[in-house]
Amino acid sequence: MKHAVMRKLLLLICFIAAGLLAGCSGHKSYVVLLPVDGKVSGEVVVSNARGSQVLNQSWQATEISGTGMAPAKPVVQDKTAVQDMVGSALIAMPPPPVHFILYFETNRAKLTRESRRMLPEILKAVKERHPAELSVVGHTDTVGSPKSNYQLGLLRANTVTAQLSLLGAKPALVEIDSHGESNLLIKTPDNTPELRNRRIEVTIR
Amino acid sequence: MRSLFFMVCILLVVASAAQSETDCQPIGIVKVASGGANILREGRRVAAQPGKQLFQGDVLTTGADGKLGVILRDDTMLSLGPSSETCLEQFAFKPAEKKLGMILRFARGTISYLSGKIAKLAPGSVRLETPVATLGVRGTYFAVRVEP
Repeated sequence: MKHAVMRKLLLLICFIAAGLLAGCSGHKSYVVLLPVDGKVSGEVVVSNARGSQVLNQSWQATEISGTGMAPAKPVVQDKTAVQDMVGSALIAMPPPPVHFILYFETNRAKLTRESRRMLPEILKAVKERHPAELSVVGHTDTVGSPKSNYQLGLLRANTVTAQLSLLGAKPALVEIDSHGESNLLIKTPDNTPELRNRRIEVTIR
Repeated sequence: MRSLFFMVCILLVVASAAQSETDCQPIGIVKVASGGANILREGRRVAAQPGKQLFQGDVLTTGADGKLGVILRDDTMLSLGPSSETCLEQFAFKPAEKKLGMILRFARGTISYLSGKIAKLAPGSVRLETPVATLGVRGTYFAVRVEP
C-alpha cells in the first residue's frame, strides 16, 4: 500500500521534471510574414537551438510552443486567423515615412528651380504627420575637397530646413546631417560635376 | 613629457565625451500612442506621447488597453498591441561611417515590425530576439505574438 503511494508520487515527480526539461512552461510564440502592397515582403528565418524554419510566403506562420521547443512547420493562414493573433499590433502601425530628394546648383546651397517647387509638398507632409520628425541629409558631387564638401552638404541641409521653417513648417524634431561627397547617388570619378549628386535627402517621419 | 601626458588626458576626455554624445542621440520618435503606453528609460517610466524621442536602451511597454507605434531613424517601423514589451537594446545608423546595427527584443505581447534601411544595407547586423527564438530577416514585414 505504502509502496503504491510512493510509486505514484515518484511518477508525478518524473512527469513534472520531464515537463520542466521539455520546457513547455511558457513564452509560446507565433511569427507571421505579412505582405507589403500585396507582395511578399521578404523572408524571416525563425530559429533556436532545436531547429529553424523559413517564412517566405505572405500569411505564412510558425509557432514555437514553448521554451526548448523547435519552431513548427510553417503554415499559410487566412487573414482572419492572422488578424485574431496579431491584429491588435497591426492597427498601431504609424503611416510610413515620406522621402524627397531636392537638387542644387553647382557649389552652392541654392536649390534648382524644379526642386524649389517641391517645398510646398514637403511642408504639407510635415503638417500631415504632426508631430513629425524632419530629417535632412546634405550631399555634394565630387568637385572640391571632401572636407569642404562636408561643409557644403551641411549648408545645403541647413538652408532648406530654414526655408521650410520660414514657410511655416513646425516639425517636432529636426535631424540635420551631411555626408559630403561620401554617399554618391551616381558613382563618378573625383572632380566630376553631377547634378544628381548635389542633393539633400529629406525624410518626414 | 608631462605636457604629453596632459595632452593624452585631454584627448581621452574629449574622446569619451564624443562617445557618450553618440549614445545620447535620439534613435526614433513615437508616432502613435493610446491607453497605457510607456517608455522605461534608465529605471524611470516616461509616458509615450506622439512626438516623444526614443533612445538606445529604451523599453517600450503597453498596458492592457494600450497601443504604441514608433519609427526609428533608419525608417524601421514598430508597433505594439496591448500588454506588450519590446526593448530597443542597440541601434546604430551611420551609413557614412559604415556603422550599422540593431538589436530588438520582443519580450511579450503582440508586435509588428517593418524593416528599414539597416536591414537593407546590412541584413546580418539586425538581431531580433523573442524569448524562444531568433528572427533573421531579409526584407521585411512581419508580426509576432509572445505569450507570457
